[in-house]
Amino acid sequence: MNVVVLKCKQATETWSEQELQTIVAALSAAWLSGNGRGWETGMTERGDPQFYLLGPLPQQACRLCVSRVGGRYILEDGAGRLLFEHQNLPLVTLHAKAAVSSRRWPLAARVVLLWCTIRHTIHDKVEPLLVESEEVLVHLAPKLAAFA
Amino acid sequence: MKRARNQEPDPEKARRTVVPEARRLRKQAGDWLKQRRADAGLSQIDLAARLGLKYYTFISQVENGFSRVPTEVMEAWAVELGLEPATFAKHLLLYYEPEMYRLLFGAEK
Repeated sequence: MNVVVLKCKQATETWSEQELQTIVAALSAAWLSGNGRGWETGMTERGDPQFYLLGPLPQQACRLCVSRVGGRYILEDGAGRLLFEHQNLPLVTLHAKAAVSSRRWPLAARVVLLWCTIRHTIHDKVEPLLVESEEVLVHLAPKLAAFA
Repeated sequence: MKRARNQEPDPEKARRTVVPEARRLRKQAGDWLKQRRADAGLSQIDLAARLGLKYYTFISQVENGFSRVPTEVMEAWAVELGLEPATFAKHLLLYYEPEMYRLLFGAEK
């Protein structure tokens, strides 16, 4: 299996203030309150930044981890399961929020999250394909018309 | 490894300035794993690939002391580092569950 290693590196290796604010703001209400729950940041061997959401005392084990690898945000749980990945941080934090408070999230919020994910996926993957096929059609249309 | 540390301000803050024992031991386990990986001549990316992980970030999560090696991948992790799985698991138990280790193996280290 090939490990995804994106070569395009961002100018700042560590988290920017804005990135941290986005993550903490999304998780503070749902998770970061009382009994030693907190967060820390670290780095991988390659210098990719990581954000660790810590569980309660006494273990303070990692509950969720957000990493930025080549401009893509990776959301994993404390056991290494890949939960979500995207280049849009607010969308990733939405998934993180859902993961830490899954029992409390109402159905409507889950539907909104699903909708956002589908919309972003369409925007990222389907739209480029449509544009590409449109371009092919533009090139082929005059030739087809000539044959007709 | 540079780390930032942040926690919500609350009355327990003073108590939390001391790193909990469990976290300290997990970090020691992470350092040991990092050394064993280096001995095996593998990068975090190499090890992740051998374990079938899509991203290598979980290896870093474990080596930085924030997570444990999951039991279900312990054998594969040991094999890829060229270590005997039982010895590997026993050594990690010393860090992850020190009381269990003491009950099973006494004070030996």
